[in-house]
Amino acid sequence: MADRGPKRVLIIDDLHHAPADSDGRAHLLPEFERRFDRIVILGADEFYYEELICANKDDRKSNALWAYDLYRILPFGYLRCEQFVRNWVGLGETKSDELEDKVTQINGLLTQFLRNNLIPQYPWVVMIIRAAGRLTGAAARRKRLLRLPAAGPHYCGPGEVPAEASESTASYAWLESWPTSYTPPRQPNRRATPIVVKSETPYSRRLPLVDLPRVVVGQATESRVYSSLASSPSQAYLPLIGSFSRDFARAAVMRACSR
Amino acid sequence: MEVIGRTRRSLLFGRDRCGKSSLAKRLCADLHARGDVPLLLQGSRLKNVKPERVGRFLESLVEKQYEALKPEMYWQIEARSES
Repeated sequence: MADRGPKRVLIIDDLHHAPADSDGRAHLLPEFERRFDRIVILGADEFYYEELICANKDDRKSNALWAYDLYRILPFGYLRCEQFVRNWVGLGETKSDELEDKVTQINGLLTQFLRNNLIPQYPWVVMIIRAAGRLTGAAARRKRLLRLPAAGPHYCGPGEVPAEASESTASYAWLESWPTSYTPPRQPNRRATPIVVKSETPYSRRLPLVDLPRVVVGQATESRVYSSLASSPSQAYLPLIGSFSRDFARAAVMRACSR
Repeated sequence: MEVIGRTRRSLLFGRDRCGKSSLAKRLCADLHARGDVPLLLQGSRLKNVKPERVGRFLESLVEKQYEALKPEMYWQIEARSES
């Protein structure tokens, strides 16, 4: 029977890098479907919004992707995050008490960043924080974090924030070490001039960085600056940052490790 | 894996750097371990593929990803499984 034999499965990664027009894909997908028993396609969120949500009603009917079962990859919740750390730490560890100690230590570190949803709980973020947690001593952690590759996309960063003007609160003190200037790295095929977005929020003076509303949004496909409809300082902070960069995670980790 | 294994056509979305490519590779390995014959294709490679050249393009992928499996054998897998 068909279900018992081996299946030919096509996995298409990064469909958003495929031909941009849906017509081009409309010709390719039937060819794939004719040749494979199963097809799994992975794509960016933007692609989903542009192709499937924002499309006209008529376009939806003709878009072959509407026939696919849709799934979305979500950030970790606390349980999955802990399980991820446990699995990773458990590689090569034999003593259960040491394992538990390390898991507890790393989860404590992670909680500092993740409890306020300031950083998306995706595996690479967890890995960066986890890498810092492995080292003993602030200097060693800082050194390791500085050596982390910076090749990833930089979504946004603060611009010209005077550090001496910052107010610190207990909750957000670790943000004090935010760099006083930030220049988004030049990336090929992306706009060279940063966009300066001004935003006003009633909670800006209560934030550790008073002038944070001046946010330089880097050249990214998913840069977002949300409207500031916040009801608390933490919520007010989020709209100003939009998407987070690896630099953000690194700066946050460095600060936490030095405490 | 179980959910995706049940559906014939699946579309997964996620933010940048959320692990999509890692998931694709993991899926590939899992399917292979299960006895299936997956083919991993990068979307960027589809830019210059014309519909009439899809067959040749896929054959070149099979040659790259499977050392001991020739393209003609790959296309016969379906016939064997349905017999």
